[in-house]
Amino acid sequence: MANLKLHSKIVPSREERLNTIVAFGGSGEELVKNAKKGCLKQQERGFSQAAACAEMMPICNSAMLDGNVVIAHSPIGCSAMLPMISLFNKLGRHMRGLPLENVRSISTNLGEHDVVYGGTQELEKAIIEADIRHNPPVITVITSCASGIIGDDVDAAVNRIQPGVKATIIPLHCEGFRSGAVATGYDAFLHGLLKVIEKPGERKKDTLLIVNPLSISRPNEVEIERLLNKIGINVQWFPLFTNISNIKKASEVAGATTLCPLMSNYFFREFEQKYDVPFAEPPMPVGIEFTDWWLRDAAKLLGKEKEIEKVIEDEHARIKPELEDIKIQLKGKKAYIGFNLAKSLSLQSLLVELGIDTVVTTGFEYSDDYGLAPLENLKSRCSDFTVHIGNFQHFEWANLFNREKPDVLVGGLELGGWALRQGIPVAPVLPQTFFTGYEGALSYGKDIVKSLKNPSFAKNLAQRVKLPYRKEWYSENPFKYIGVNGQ
Amino acid sequence: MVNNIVKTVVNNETPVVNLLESPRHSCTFGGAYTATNAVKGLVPILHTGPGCGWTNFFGLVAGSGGGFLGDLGAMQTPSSSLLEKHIVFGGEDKLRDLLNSTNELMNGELFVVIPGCIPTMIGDDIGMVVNEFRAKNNTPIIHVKTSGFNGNSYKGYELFLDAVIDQLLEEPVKVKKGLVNIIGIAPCQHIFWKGDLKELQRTLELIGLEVNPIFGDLKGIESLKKIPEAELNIVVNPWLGKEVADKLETKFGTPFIVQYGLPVGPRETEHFVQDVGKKLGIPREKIDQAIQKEIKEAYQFYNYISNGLYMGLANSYFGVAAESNIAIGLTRFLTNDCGMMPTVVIITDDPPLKNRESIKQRLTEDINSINKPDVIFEIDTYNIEKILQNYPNLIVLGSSMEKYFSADKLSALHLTVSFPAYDRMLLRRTYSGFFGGINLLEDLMGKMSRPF
Repeated sequence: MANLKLHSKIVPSREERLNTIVAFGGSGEELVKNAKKGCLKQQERGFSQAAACAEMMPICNSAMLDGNVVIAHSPIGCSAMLPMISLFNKLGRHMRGLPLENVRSISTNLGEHDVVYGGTQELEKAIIEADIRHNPPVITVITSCASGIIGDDVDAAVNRIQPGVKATIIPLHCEGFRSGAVATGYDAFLHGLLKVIEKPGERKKDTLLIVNPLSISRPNEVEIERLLNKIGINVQWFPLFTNISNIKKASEVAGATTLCPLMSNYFFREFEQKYDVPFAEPPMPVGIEFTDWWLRDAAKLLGKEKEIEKVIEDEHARIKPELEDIKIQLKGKKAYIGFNLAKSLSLQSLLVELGIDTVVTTGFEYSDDYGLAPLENLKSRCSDFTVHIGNFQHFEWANLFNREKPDVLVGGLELGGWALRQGIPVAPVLPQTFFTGYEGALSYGKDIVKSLKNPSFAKNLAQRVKLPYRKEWYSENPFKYIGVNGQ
Repeated sequence: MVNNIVKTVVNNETPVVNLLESPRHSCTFGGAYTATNAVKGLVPILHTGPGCGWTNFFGLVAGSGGGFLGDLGAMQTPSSSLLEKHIVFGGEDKLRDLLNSTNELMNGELFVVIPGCIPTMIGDDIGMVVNEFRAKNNTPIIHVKTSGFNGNSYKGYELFLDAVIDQLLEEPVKVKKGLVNIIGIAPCQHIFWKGDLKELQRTLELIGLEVNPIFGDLKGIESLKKIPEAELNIVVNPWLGKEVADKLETKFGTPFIVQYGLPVGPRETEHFVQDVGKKLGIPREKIDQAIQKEIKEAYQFYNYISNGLYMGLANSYFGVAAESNIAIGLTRFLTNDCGMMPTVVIITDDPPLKNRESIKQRLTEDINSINKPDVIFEIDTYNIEKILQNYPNLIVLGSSMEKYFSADKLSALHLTVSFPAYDRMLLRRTYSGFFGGINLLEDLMGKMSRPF
């Protein structure tokens, strides 16, 4: 990674660093071909809809750090999502047996005065107040469009007051306008956390650090632990729902891998450079083939290639009969998959094993690092499919749902409600769904069967809900606006 | 004690300190965006960074006990999603393109352009782009004067109505006898807005009025266009919406009355209905007759719950941390109708200074309790917790943010009645009107006697 500028204050955007694209529509084959030739173009849309920004991931993720106080150095609205985030925080904590409490957040509540005269004074007051009120081990400072445009020097302010504040202050540079690729926000968040990770003392030679996003919850962690424990590998989850002393000691592990290569991309490279921790970033362990792939890569980090083969063999034999049962019930069905691309492609691999045809697979952004290898794998295993890459963009989904008429949406929070509104039943993969590993394959396979057996909710809703688009739109090319008038 | 707390921002005053812990509102942009979504058929068009729409939509909708709102919410909302280059080169072209492509793609009765921080800071001339569009197209369009830092989401609600009045509504109009508008219930910020608007509408229809709730019904833009035809505007809020009603009086000559706090239970609701009737010249006896059955029925349910109330919650101390509208309604009902004792009422919606005395009066005068509550205006969640710790409450009526705190630190029962509400689902639920008090007791007794 020649262009990876580590240790700078501000992480480069994904577009700059990985040539990430946020607008593509076409076949999987075309995407692979263009990617290999290096001619994927960064494009915009002539029409765009509300989506996520680079500030959301840092706010959302740092809210899940145990004991943290999140400071939004922003106008009041940028942290408005916290009620929603509190719901996920509650769920995540509950599943891990942690005491239930509120997310602690302070907004610097920038007003017209600060926009003219600068807001760093407000920030300093907020940090001091957070420290006095809650005595937290860590305080994360989230920047915003407004603080970025007025040019507040957040780092200088933090350095000025850090000596008088007990908590470690972590500034996260994540102005919402910096990147159309939401994962830039992950990079900003994890880059900030690296600031508190200490030099390793003694290495825990059998422990792997596994990066896990909010959307892959506790039941999935249990399955991964079950499989790795069989060959004597311990797991340390990172970075959510864990306390700061665990985060500080993150570098003591023998290796690092990830349940979401989209999330961990920047972090691993900086982590390796700083602390010499080797890493592997296989696709998400969903379905048999990708779980095998993931386990082999993870085991290899600790030199346990041979031991893991036995586990894989046993598990295959164990789940095969039940998987065949599920497969019979799903024969000939068509699915639309809608998540970030790392998750979509892994679920697509499971669907291949369940005998379901994927007609469209969605990603919110694409880069070769986590996209190319699984796409090439899938290309050889299934007939061609459409890939839709967009920072959400519901109008394109609506068109594709209508054009492809899938039997089921394999999707999450982002697309789920929308498929229902067009009469397509959803087999949801939500923050409480179990879908990874071998047991997860069975569990989620059964979920799909259930969703297909009774689609009445989707059918009812679709008859009574009107979508806002003109009817002509549904006969147009769904990707018509990509690269048009892109300013 | 209360006095060593950092003083937080106060409306219309230079703030001592800006900072706010776990705020209970969003920005004007957020308020205007949810208000737009709450009128059917309107197309909100966001001129903001990429994430402002989502953040505010999911924040305000999830925070008001809901899952979704409107026909064009969340990912469906057109947004210019401004990036770094637009900050350098300006975002007007991006907005122009967005308006044209939205018109190409979407059916909409009214386009509502809602800007956030970025265009205000870089100086985009949104008015010009909107006027250009208006000149060339038939689709009606208005432009709300929001940004991220010119006030809170309550003001955003008022700015939305301002834009409607200034840019959409035309005069002269013929006044329609018996038509009234309800103003002052802000979608989402008032967590019971859906149920309360329906119930207030139903209540006023009992006395023969035609009610325009403006938000939340199926009539869409028609409910906006009907606003000037009203014979009377009813502001159901001790402060919010008064300026809107003033403006409507100036522009269309519509008189208005203010209901100081949500009418909860038969007693307050009867007063409310009589006040409205008086203003419209409806004879008192006619109203008495129209609402007799409702009152009887409400007290029948009151009878059902009386034993439980007496055994479980007689003479209970309770504290409230809620918006002024809800705080007044619930406090008056629980004291005057149920015999409970209010210790402290914390007002969390930051009313303008000039309105605070009247809010205080409604909470301390004509209250049948041996004690009068302390009334404190505070919007910072940490400070609210500190204040609550000073009072021995059996019941805390607050937001979801007081839930764990009430159980762990106060050993008090907790019911979510104010924003943010993310521990209950609220669709048709209402505490207003003749039966609203019964609903409140139902929820409260459920926490008391059957929490397991």
